[in-house]
Amino acid sequence: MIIKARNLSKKVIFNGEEINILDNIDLDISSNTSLAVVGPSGSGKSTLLGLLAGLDSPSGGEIFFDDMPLHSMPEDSRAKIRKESVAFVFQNFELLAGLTALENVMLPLEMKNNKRARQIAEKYLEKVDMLNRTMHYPQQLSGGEQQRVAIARAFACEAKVLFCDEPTGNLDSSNSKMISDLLFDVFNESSTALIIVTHDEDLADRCDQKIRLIDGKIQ
Amino acid sequence: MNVVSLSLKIFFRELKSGQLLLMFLSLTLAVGIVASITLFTDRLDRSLIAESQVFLGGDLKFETSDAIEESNIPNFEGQFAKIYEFGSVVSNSDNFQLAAIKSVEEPYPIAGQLEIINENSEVETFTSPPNPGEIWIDGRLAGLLDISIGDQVDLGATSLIYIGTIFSEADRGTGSFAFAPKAIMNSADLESTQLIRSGSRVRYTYLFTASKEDIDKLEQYFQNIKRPGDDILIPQNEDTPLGRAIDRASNFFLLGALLAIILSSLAIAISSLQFTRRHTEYVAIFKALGFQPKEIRITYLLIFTFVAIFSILFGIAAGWFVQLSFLSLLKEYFPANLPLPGLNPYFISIVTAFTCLLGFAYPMLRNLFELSPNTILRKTANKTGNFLSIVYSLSGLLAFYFLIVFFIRDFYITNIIFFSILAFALFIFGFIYLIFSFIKPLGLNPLKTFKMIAFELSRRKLFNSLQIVSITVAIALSLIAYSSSTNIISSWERSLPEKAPNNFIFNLFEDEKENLKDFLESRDIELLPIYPVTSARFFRIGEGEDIDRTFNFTWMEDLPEGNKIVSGEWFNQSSDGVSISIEIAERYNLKLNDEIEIDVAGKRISSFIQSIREVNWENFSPNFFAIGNTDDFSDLSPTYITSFHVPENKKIVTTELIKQFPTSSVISLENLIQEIQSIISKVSQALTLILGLTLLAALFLMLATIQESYKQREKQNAILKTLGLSRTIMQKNTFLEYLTIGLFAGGLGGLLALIATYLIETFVFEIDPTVYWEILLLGILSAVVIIGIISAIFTFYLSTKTPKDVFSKVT
Repeated sequence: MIIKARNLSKKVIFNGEEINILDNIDLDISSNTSLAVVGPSGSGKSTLLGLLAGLDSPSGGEIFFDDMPLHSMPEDSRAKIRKESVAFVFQNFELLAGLTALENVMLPLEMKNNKRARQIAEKYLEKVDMLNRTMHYPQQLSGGEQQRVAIARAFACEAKVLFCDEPTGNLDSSNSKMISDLLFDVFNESSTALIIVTHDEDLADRCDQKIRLIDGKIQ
Repeated sequence: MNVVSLSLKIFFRELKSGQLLLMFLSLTLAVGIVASITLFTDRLDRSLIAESQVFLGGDLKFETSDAIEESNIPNFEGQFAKIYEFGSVVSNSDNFQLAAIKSVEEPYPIAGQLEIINENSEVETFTSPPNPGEIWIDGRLAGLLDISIGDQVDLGATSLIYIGTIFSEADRGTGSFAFAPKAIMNSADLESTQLIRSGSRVRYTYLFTASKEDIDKLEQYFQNIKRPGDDILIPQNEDTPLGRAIDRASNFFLLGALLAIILSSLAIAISSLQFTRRHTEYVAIFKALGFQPKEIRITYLLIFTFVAIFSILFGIAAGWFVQLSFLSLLKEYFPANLPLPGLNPYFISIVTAFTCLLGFAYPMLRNLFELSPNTILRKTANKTGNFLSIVYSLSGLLAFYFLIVFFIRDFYITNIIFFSILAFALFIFGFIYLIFSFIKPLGLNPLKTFKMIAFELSRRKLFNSLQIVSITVAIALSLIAYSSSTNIISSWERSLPEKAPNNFIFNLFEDEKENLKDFLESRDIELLPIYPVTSARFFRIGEGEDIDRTFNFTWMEDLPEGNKIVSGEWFNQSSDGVSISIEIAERYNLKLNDEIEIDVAGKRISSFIQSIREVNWENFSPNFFAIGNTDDFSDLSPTYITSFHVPENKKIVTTELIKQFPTSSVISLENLIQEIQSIISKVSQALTLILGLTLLAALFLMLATIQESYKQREKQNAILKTLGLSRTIMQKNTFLEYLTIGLFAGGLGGLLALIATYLIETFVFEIDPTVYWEILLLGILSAVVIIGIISAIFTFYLSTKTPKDVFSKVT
């Protein structure tokens, strides 16, 4: 198992009141499989993704990432795991506005001191059909194009797990279809585990597993 | 990618974003101002220290008001020069000018050399005095007298030929006459001028060059004979009067610059806040990609360090050019070739840059470091903080306090300045903030212009108030400087009573008194009392601080006009005390009946403080700090001083008077006012440069606040446009909103300047104050024009964005 979660819970205090966002979640995810997390807004999907990716700490329970206890690690160690083993695709693309498409894809590779950062970045930009836009800044690209660059950046990391938070949430239907095709094309060529949080049932249906969250619990 | 190249990349790309550029420009401005002042004063200081031997004119200089017995000087191996320095009128036909005369004899100079421009405009070097019958004059005096080389000038009872223009001279850094136009003559001509007689005001300077041992021996000797008012100067001692004057000027200008630095720092704070807000997204991505917190911290600290480095480089370069303008503006008063500056100005500039960043930008930046990695998923986790939070305010105030201490190195004065500025700024800020809090209407109706303006002013009351305060202060200061150099002096001139004395004559000898009376009577000019005057030293009997100066001392029977006894009694027949002014009593803590000894021309007289007087110094009659009873001093041989009024239609009398009494000195008020006006004009031009930069800092702050509201306005305008509001109405509303800010700032700035000018006239010049309404008008006009132009550009730019442009932006 690449990710194992046991009795995972997340509570927040809001206006003095304790709210359970996630309640006793158990989850096992293997390498090279895809998992969709679906559910209505506010059901805790993004919170679950944040915990599994090591962006946030749980209030209770355990998460093991490649057998490492993510739940008890300090931020420095979690950052190390994210750098080496995790990649993301976000709803808002989250590209750095001051860097070109190529530089954005190169960034995580350069952080790992990968000497072939440029070649790998160009290879993945070619896979997402963006090789002709490498020197463009994010603001010069359409939403669909930005998401393609974000997918190239995610796969270029050659991470163990790719987390996608509503990857088609900001796109029209034709772009959504194109992005989801692209995501699975590249996924199928990789050995990465794919975890997608989405409202898009078509996208969820393409995954190997699907879980539905309602009020912080798996149904 | 290593963090250095990443931070460099972000730095250069982000310079285009506006916030970093404005931060860079504001910091460059702050550094530039500080650099210009410190570079200028450091160069002056260094020329004083590096060439101190030449500046001093020897290895030791002894200055005194009484000639010393030269035969008592201990034996030494080396050279010795004697210089007479005194003020006297130099004239050429109808031009008269009071000048500092330096009379020298062989050997002179004994250190350094003189550079004199000859009739062929070539610089010649001299290591000897001018020949008897000749005189060297500095360019300023030659200009004032309107003479050329070869012309004859009159000095006292003799005439000398102007043979060369002083370009540079040894022992330039002399004390009290350093700023007066100067002339150098040969002491062989001194007797024929008849200017030096018993009781004349002369400063004797003795210069020595010798071995270290001999100089120590001489210093010891002069320490033993030194009396209050005497000065011993040696090159190693940097604490010269000129050095202290430069220090004081430097502090004064740095305080002037402080305001520009505060405004720049506020602009830096706002820009950093915007930069931080924009970069939460960056940091969230970095964290998601696995950047270690330490790497993020280093990346951003490096970006700010690059801002600092580039600001320091550009700021110092700009400062260099500004100090060159200071030099060219004030070149008449300083040596021609100043040495290059030392490291201190660069150190001060660097410390200023980093203090501004640490105090005003770093607190904002810290928010980035504390950002949760989960921000990438939940934007609500993004907290960039409130601009007025305690942490921000405290760190800003601390930086501000540190800068004042750093500039003036005195905690007491720092506290006064710091708390005065703080109280003043809070008062104005609070006043505007309260107004804006009360005017908020319900809802934003763009069709009702005034309602919309009130709504917008109130919605952004924090930044609008900040904007108004900064522009108000910048405009007020500029107007005060302008008003001082124009209105106040002429108003002071007008305030003088119609028949107030407008000419002084001093250095008049006993045998000339009657001639003067006849001369003035024959021309129907009223003569005021003639007072004897001599130089006196006071020695305290008993415990207390030394009275370290000499006084112009006189004696008389009746209390002079414009004087009022505030304690004790005026002289009666049998009294043998002295009367002193209240200023002297306070300065030296002298009380009624305190016993003193008075040394007048070597004669020691026991006395006591019999009365303390309040003196009206502005009545243009001779006034004295210390007065004795006639009976006690009648056997002395003083010179005499008096004043008289020459009506406009009898101006020729002054010229005739100088011709008739060539060994006396005449000062006409008109010349004095011209000289004061010239100095005030030069200083206010230098100040205007700094105030201009302050105004620029205020504009940068305005741009920062405009940027702060830009996104919100852009979106609001896009929504209003989709709701069908026309571009013209939108432009008009935004333009009028900024114009209102201009009206507020200009009106308040004008009002402040008006009040300040009124107070300066009342308390500094002690004249009947005038209300200069035109200052108010000028304030409003200048603010409206400046802000009008900026807001017009901004409004135009804002309204060119279509709703599609705005909404299609991914935020």
